[in-house]
Amino acid sequence: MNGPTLEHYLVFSALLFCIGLYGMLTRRNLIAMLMSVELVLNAAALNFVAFHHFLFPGDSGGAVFPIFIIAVAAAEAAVALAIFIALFRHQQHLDVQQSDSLKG
Amino acid sequence: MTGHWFIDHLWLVPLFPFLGFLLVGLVIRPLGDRPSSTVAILAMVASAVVGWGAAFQYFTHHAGETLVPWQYEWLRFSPTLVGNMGVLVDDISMLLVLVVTTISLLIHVYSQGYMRGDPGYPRFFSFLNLFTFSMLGLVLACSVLQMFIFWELVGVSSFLLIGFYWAKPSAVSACKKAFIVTRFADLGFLIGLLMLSYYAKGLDFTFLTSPETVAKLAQTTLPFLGVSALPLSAILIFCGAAGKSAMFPLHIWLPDAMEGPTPVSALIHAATMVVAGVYLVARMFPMFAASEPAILTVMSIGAFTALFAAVIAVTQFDIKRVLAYSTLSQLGYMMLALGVATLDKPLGFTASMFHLTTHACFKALLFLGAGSVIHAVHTNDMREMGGLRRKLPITHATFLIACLAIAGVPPFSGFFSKDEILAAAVENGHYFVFALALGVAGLTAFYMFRLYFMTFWSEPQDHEKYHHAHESPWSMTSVLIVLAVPTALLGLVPFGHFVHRGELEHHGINWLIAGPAILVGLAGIAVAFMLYFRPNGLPDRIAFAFSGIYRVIRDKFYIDELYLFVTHHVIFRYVSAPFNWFDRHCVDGLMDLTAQSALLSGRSLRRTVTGHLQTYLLWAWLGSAVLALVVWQMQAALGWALTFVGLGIIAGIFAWQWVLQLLNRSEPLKRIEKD
Amino acid sequence: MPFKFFFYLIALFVLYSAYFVVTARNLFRSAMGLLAVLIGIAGMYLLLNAQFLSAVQVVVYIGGIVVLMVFAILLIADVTQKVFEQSPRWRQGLIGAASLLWFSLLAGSMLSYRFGAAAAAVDKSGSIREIGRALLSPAAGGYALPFEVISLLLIAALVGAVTVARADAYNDERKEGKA
Repeated sequence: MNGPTLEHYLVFSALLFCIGLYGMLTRRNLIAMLMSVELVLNAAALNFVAFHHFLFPGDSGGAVFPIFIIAVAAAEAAVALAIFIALFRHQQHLDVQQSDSLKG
Repeated sequence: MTGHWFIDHLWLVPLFPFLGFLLVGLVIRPLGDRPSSTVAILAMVASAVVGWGAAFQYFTHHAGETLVPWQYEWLRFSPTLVGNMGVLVDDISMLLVLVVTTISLLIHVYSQGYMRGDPGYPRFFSFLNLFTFSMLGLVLACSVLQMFIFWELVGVSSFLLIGFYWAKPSAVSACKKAFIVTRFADLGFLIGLLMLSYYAKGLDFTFLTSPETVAKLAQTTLPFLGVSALPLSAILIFCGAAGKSAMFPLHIWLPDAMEGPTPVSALIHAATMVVAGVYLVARMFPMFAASEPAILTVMSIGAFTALFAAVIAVTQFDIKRVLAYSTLSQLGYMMLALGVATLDKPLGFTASMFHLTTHACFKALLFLGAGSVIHAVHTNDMREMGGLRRKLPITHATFLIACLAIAGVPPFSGFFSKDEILAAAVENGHYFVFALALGVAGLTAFYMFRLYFMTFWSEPQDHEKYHHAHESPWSMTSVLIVLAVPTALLGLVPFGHFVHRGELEHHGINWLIAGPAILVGLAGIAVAFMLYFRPNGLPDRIAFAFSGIYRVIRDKFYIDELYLFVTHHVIFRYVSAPFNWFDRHCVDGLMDLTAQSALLSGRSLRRTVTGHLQTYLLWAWLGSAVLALVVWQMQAALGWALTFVGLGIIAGIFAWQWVLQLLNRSEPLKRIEKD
Repeated sequence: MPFKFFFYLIALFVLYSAYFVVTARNLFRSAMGLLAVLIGIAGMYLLLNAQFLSAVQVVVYIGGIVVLMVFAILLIADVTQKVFEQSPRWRQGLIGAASLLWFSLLAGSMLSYRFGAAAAAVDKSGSIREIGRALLSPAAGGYALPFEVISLLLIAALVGAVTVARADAYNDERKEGKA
């Protein structure tokens, strides 16, 4: 077997996940944070497919779940972007590090 | 069930005043003065009718028996120990029912006139009814537990009535004093009661006073003192009796209790409630008689109080205080009489009950007469009275009868009862007690006639008060007249025929005993006549000659000061203060500590709530990292370690706060307000 | 060999694009980076023999979500403005180090774990027919209920997005009505 193994995919998705995490914690713009979230979601979906392909090809769950993830991502993006637009109208910027009105 | 209607329905006797109390206090009070007093008096009339009927039926059909016509199991502590509520009928309870219902009824009538126009008029009558209910419940109690409950109830009603003029600071402190002192004494009663219930396994009087129980108790040795249970529990119960009857070390509340309205002094603090202690000892008489130390305690404390109070009474100028000390002295007489009685020669028992009855009549009369005088001249100080016989003829005549009775002049009632006490002392060989009682009789005659002459004879000292004085209304004087009848004639009743323990051989008047008693009484009267019949400087000169000892007596031997010293300088400083410190710093400190640590943890944790989205994300990440670490590799050990570290941090915060609290370095409540 | 080659090629492409997504100063550019990442992931799906997923990825993710984002960016931000505010350097460094540590932990744990052998391979695994049956089958092993729930979620998201986005207009109307 000279193709890539399961471990290849796992390490790749872990790296993608960590890049997404880094983006979530460092980007100051809310839309950029949302894009980082998409990276994380994709890393997870890729894991599903990889496990399905290498370990449980008989079980259709691994193939179906990425579809759900994509659906959830779509819903999340729609709602989040709507919120961002409302928020932008309200405070004229989308800088997460300037918004702390819930400070204790 | 005896088949005699009044005895079978004896529970109505306390019930009527109780209903009266509820009705007057809750329903009728707003309707005004007259309906209130009318209802209260009607309740007392009904109660007195049933009481008299029952007493008549008892002494004609069941004399000498002990009956329990009605009983109800109130509390079952264990299969063998049962607290009963019920009605106990024997000679002394019937006697007390007679005394209490009669005197109480008369004083209700008297108060109608005396309290007229007082803003608390309906309240006064409802309290009087409450007191009468409690006292009758106490008298009829069939178990020592029931006795204790009503014992406390009379304490409460006494408290309420002493503090009736609650706007006066002196009345407030007097009622607190009475309540605290008697309550303190009741602690002894309670402990004695518990001891009895533990060792005798029963609470009913019929059971406790039976010879078998007494013998069993006498053989029971206590595990920690090695003495038998009988004398100890008897003496503890006597503690309660001494508190209620104001025996020597616990007498301090009674003179102050004169702050209450005069009818209250007459009813509660002369005729009925204060004899409850005597009654309790008489109730438990077989127990006391079976135990030498207990009966000797009763005798010696009674004798000492009789002398002690009589000596103080000689020097007092407040008319009610003289009577209060006289009451103390006479109560000491009754205790003394019980103390000299034995099971073989129980004459003292009869004498005590006899004296209780006559004393109730003449002391109530004296107090009511004094009330009439106070009503007329609006002062308590005898030095501002004088010559009142012309202004208050009825009061004067009845007062004189009462004075003669208490001084022991034949044929008035006091002579017979006092003579019986002296005879009992001699009969049982207590010659020292006899001599002491004789001396007290002389003192009694002296101070009573000192009071009488200073008030009614001599010369008017305060002419303005004298001119405004007038005889009291009919409702008051009629009561005086009615009371004067038994005061004069009660001694002629063959008392020992009705109330006795064991077989009493016929006892006529032994002139070897009665003769000296009469002489001593007449001598006391004569001295009083010389000193006080006309105003002269002799009493002052005598007082000056013995100024040192006079001052000590006038200041009541400094017993009150001693109590104050003990409470303030010993108990407050060495007991209460450390407890207070412990409460403030350790108990409160623990509370403050809780508040402090909540505050502190809140204050430190609020810094983690930055309002920044990415901070929360970071926390979530850290949390998942910790979880991952726990699950992945080190599992249990790391979990425990983290738990311990967390708990350690919390405990550290607590401990540090506690230290701060102990050093009084933080004031959390103020800080909370500031926040 | 060619598969492995393709894998590395796509991986490098995706990782570079992902890095671009999280560091680009211009939002529009990072959206383009995201586009590239998603295309790369679609390629990965092809490598994993999941053609249908690959197609869904392209159609829904790229055609739907990324386009939505681009619209949002154009609505909100001034794309001509090149420089967006960035986190301070120390923060970037710290979180970068933490992310690397996290990656090493993840990778280490994955590589040290011995995964079992594959179950018997099924030729048609991941085929459209199979996915369609699984999605709509109410029997055990089917996903009819999650499918319906997702449809409900999408409706709710749609309505919610519209409501939230026009909240201000609604408020304005109300203010006018009051005034």
